[in-house]
Amino acid sequence: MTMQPPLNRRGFLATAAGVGAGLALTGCGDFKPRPAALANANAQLPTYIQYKGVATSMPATQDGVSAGHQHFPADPPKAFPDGPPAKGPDINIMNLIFNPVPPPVEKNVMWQALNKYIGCDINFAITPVNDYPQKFAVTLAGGDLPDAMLMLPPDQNSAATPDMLHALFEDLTPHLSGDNIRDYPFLANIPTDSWRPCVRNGGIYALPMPRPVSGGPLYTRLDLFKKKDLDPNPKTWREFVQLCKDITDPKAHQYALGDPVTTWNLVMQMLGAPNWWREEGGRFTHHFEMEECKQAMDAVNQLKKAGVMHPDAFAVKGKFKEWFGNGQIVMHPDAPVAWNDFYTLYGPVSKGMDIGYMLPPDWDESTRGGQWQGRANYATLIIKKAPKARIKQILRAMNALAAPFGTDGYLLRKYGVQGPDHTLKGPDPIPTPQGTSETYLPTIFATDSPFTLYYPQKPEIVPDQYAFQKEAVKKLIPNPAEALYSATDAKMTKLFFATLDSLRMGIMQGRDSPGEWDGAIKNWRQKAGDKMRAEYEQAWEARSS
Amino acid sequence: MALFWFLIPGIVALLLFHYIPLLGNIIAFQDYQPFIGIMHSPWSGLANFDVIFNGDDQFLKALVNTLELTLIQVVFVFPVPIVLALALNSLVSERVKRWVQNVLYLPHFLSWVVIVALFQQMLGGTGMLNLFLQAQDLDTWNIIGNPDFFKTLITSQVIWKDAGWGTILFLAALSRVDSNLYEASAMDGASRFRQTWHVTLPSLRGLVILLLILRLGDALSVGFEQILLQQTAVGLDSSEVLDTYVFNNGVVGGQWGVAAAVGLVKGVIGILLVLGANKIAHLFGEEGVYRS
Amino acid sequence: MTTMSPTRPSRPGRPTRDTKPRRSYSAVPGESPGSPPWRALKSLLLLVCVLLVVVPFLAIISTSIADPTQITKAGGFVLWPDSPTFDSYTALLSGGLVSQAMMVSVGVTVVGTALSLVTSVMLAYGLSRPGSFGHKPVLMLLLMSLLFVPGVIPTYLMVKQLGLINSYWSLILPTMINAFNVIVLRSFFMNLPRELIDAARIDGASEWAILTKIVIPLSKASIGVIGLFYAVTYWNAFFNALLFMNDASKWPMQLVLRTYVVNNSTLSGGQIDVAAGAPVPPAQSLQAAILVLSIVPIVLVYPFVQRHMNKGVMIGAVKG
Repeated sequence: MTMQPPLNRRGFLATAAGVGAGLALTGCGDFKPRPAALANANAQLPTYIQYKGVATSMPATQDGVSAGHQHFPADPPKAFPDGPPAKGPDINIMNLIFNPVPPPVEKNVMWQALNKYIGCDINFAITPVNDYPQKFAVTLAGGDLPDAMLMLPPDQNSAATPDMLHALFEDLTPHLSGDNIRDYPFLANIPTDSWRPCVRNGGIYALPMPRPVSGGPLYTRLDLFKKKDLDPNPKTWREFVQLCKDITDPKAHQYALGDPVTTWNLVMQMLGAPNWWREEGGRFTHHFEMEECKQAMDAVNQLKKAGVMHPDAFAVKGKFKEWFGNGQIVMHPDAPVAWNDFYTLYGPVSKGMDIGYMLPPDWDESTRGGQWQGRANYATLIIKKAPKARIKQILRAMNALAAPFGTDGYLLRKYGVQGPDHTLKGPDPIPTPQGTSETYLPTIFATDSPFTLYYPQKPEIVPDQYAFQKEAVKKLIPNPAEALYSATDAKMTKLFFATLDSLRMGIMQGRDSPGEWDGAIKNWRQKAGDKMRAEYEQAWEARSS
Repeated sequence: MALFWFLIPGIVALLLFHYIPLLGNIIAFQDYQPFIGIMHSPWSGLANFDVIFNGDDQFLKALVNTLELTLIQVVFVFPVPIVLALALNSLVSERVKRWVQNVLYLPHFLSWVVIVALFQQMLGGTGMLNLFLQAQDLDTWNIIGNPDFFKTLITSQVIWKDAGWGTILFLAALSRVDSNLYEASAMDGASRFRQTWHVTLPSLRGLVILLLILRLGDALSVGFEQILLQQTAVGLDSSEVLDTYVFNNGVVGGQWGVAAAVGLVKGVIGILLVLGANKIAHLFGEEGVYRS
Repeated sequence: MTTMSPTRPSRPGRPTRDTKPRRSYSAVPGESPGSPPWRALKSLLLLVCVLLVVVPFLAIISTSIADPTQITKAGGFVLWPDSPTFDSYTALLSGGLVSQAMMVSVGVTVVGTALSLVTSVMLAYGLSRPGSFGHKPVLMLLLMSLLFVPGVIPTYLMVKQLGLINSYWSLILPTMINAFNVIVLRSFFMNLPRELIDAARIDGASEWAILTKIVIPLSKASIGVIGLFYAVTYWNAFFNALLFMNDASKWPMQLVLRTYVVNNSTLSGGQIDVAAGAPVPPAQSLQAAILVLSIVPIVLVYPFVQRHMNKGVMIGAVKG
């Protein structure tokens, strides 16, 4: 019997083309990516207008220190005394989550209250963080865009191209640049550093999700140091190594350090090495190409050989916080937000837990240490092209999501509704279990107010947190490429990172010979590094002019 | 002809959700950008196939590791469920048999993240095994982070996860063995091993060959998520396989074209292996996957 | 119609080697149990296997009811809870999301498995007769679908084109036919006694009648197993939901589980993580509890399949 295709070939291809046609969003012509200079053209940033509604003895500063508050105002000012600011149709936001998903809106008191406070329903299409880049690309390909989407920075998401922004998303410059931002006072309260990465193609294409630029400290378990009568205050690398040796006690399953990668970061900072890229007179150098990189790998290898690193440090991922919490490691570099998290999660378990902080010590008398500046944003929020009135409504809603510390809007966003979600201890909200799961609602992955140091469960730690930031900003090393776009970096970084990261781990562990590094870097330069460098240099020039 | 109608629903589903989307693999020849679409993304010839054919060191290592793991798994993993199924099948008590089976197939439902965590807690540097050794003043044994043990570790995890699950098909096949055959062979005074050899195994032969052939088609895919989770501990040299290579080089960097290109090549090799193995099966008088 | 010789009841009293008189036949026909040392070895082997599985599962269950202090001290799983508490389960089930996800998973699994079985049985039967119309190309189509896998984006576009985004059908239709299952099922069908089917055909029975009256009743074990395979696939799937379901309240259990257990686990440490400020993962006991909740329902399915497995023996006993 002969084969009779169930669908003839032409019909088959026609159906297929139909699928293809769904893909075609730009109408005409073949696609050519725009040059780096154009993609990185400058725009007028929004004017920074600090919110001064809530007084504190620990104010935010120009150089990036976050404000600190020991208590919530007893009578929180209303963010919108005239009623809900963004009445209108629903707003659909696609973003991600690190936590378990919150209960659905009909069972989520906090979410319902939030919708009421804003004036329209905010719907979140949530994706677990690991899977977000795929979901992002698929959604772009599908063409049915939500009103707003979280966009990870290009080095974590190659689909975040300036061309894509230009084709599909709104240029917000007319609404936000300069004094125009006065219409959205809470967005105006976001520091300028966080707006820089929102600029593409000579326009403001996104809203920030601000994070503190101070970066995080090297957290220390002061209680465990005290037990051994040690003062964790090393001045140099040599003293640091000695401290690590003194505190390590394998019999008690206690080690100095865990995560090899952040330990390497720490040593790099002791060496004053660049934060990814160094810019000097418009020339860019990656820290992987520098002597310091090899020096730091060797240093970590020495720590490993000295037995001060957790035996599973190189074998296990994602356990470091827990080790720090249960005292298996006593020092751990982490983000600023981790400070509160450690107390919340491990405080009840590790009785007497006392967390201190350390800044990277100097390498020696001549090589001064620095503190790598933290990214000013976790990611950014981009808004689909829409009529002007709709854009304004969305911006008003996002302005509401940026209501700063002390306002009723902030209280609702972070602590939910009094009663079901939190109880008051004096003026301070203490979350209930229901509140914890309801406030997983990822509003912080739409936009947010600037980071504020505040921990209602343990207000006495806030001055320490503030002191850390004050010290840190004095020795910040910025990453000059943070706000810039390089197509090659977006496409190739991850590609080489897997190989280089594996080699770096190998060298730090003593598995691979340090001699292999130069060859790998040479290969990287040829295939990607030099091109990235050139693009960043062009971008830097375009942005500076 | 009447039988053809039986195929229609299946064919429609295959065409709609498999073959039409498969046409999208044309992006293997494009510098595909999701927001522009297939129609307008620039053509790039065979550039996406470069990773495969330019003899990249890392790629070759991944290929070698993949083939090694496949070989190890065919030799050491594949027979385990058969042996287990035979052992279960010969249990006298039906109750015990059911219970054992119900327990053994449980690990299939755990995701790799959980299994990896379990193994780490048992065998890691501060895992139960090493804490025990330490308490006895013995040398600790680094298993998890040791590249030399990596393939053994991966293989034992696969066995732990899927051996019990794998017995299900074989047990189903065994339940169909005509009991007359056993009675007859017992009458003839056949020994226990002779029974297994002459009655039980032949009844499984067709299924075993079928599954082996299908496994060959998958020769170039081994344990993606499982390996990805455990790669950093031992480094890429010993752990990179094709799927993680594509992930690390294609998907992560958003190089959809590269991912599609590698997929196509894997498919072609898979089909060659399956057809070849099928031919060989025919030479031995077996049905294989299909007979032309 | 031909009659096959019945195999059951087996003639009693016939002596067999190596078996005790008390059990001259095992409940199901099979190999004779073997000599004592062999049996001891076998039992030991199976016991070890069972322990290798039971202990970790005990650890998971214990962790789900253990107190957080104990878990943190143990650094992960605990083998036995000191002061058991069901807080984790209450917390999970009170949120509403988990119970809803459970319903979604059950619904998708039940409907999906039923549809898959109907289409797969028809397909496998249609392909089980060599020489029937279209048999070869379709078989090839099936085989190739195992080896060439479409990309994520085109599949998404197809689902979108059909208007299935955010619909439960998007969790069923794209995975409705699994070529592996169909091929295995077909091979089972091909092993059925030819004579029965040929005789029915000569008697003028329609193909539909042959399928429903002869093939399916004779293949309960194999269909049960393939049904189990489908059910487990539907139950374990999360990726399609991730792509196609924008509304988290429509998520199946496995995707919710993923946000508890898998999320963040493959992110590397270092700069990006530190800058992002990855929050601390949910408590271990919660992770373990949701894991248990996600496994229990599907594990309950197998015993039903097992019941049919032992009826395969009836093959010979069916009469026309």
